[in-house]
Amino acid sequence: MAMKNALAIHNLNFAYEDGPAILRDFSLTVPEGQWLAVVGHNGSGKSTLSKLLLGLLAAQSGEMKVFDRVLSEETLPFVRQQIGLVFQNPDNQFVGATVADDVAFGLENKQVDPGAMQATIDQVLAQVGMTDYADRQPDTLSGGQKQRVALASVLALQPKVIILDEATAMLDPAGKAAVLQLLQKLKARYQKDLTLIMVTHDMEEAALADRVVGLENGQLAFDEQPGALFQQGELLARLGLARPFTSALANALPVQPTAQMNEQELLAWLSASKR
Amino acid sequence: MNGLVIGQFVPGHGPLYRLDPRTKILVTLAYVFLLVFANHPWTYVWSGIFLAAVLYASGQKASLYWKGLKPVFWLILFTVFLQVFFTGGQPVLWQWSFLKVTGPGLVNAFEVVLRFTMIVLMSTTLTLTTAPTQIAGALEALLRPLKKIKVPVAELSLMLSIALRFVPLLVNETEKIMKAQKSRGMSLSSGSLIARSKAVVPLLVPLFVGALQRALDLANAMEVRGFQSADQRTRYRQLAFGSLDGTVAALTGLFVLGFGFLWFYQL
Repeated sequence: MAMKNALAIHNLNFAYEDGPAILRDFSLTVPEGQWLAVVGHNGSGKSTLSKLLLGLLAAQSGEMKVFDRVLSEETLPFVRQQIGLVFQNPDNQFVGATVADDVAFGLENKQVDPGAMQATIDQVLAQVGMTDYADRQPDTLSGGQKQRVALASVLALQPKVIILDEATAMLDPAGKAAVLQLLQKLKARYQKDLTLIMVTHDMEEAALADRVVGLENGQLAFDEQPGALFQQGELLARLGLARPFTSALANALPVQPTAQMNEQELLAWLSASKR
Repeated sequence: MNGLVIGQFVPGHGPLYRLDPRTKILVTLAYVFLLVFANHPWTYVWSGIFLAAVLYASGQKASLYWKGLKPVFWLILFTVFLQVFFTGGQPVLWQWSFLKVTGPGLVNAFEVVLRFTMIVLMSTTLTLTTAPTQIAGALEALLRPLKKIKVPVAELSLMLSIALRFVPLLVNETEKIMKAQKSRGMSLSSGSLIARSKAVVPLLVPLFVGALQRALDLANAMEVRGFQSADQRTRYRQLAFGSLDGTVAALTGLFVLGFGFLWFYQL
């Protein structure tokens, strides 16, 4: 069976009113089941891209296909059923008065039978490890917990694609680690049925992905696997992106490892090395 | 939290917490409405007994209610002042220029204090034992008939519950902005009245800008989760009358009948 494309973006052009071009003839194809990181510095258009994909903004020209259906006013409900979006600010996407109510919000919009909601709510809260917080109000939760609830709310709608638009940017290190760990767990569980797109400027985060694309001046600046990308220190510096710590460390060593390694691998490599 | 704010919800375990919010709203409205007709001692005693039962059923401490009453104390005092000094009639007990204290005035003042206190206690019990979102949901259910005359009940209820959800957030933000401005030398507590009101501007501007940004973000978040119209949604929280609601309805009916009897025969 041929690999289906979750997203296919073709020659997309976008500019805010009276503003400079944000995206210029931008094209990108994302196969189903891929874990993609979209990186770029502030104002590179990476967040705009996620809003365009969900029809929150309208492009001036170009075409976007979601599972082979062209995004338009008629297909918008279909597209929003396929793609779930987690935003940057944990507070501004919490609609319900309690955790359970927030997860229920999307189900209510889908007009799910009230009797069937509880089972779904329990299931997704268990998935994100927030079962004990079901009746808590948002102001009693940490940022990381709120983002996990946001993920649960998205999961409740069973999307095939989840876009995380700088979802960890406002979190403390512990909260961020919990969210990233959760993403890895979800990806491992759903495998090819879940396409993950992380919009980020954090290279540690991008290192988790299968593929990293970089945006610069509204166009693709690179399209690589994380390992290959992190070897190119100059390219990253030009784009204003920090190299992941382990990659920078490995690069500074007198004898360098041949492949891109994560923290544990690097540690093991260092202890095993004779010098 | 310093002191109890009127309308604040305090989680608890009394029987009233298990009551359907619609029942609580209807009973409170009926009680306040009836109290307006209280006209002599026994009607007050009868209403007092009912109120005592309600307060007991809330399972909350008396001290909490005392805190709830304190903020309206000055308002009560003011109405007492008006009643005592500006009610005409005989006998006149004391007079100085246009101010006079009369027998009926004193009686009126006493009744006003009683009525006021009872109404405040009853409505405090409602908000104390019912979460704001429950009240919003119950109001929507109770106002549903108005949909027929094109009142957007579902939209209004959703707006209300979202507004309530953002209150703690905005309070928090106000405190943060105040601290930020204070650390830059702003003072809200010194200078002339004009200087002080001017100092509020640098507080309000960032607060409003922040609130608008939040509103835009929230609208996006709601839309991507499939929100189309407040009308075409199912409800996670289903309201259902239980046996407890039946008991309360019966007791309230008894109270209303008793009140009517006392009121009619002026015992």
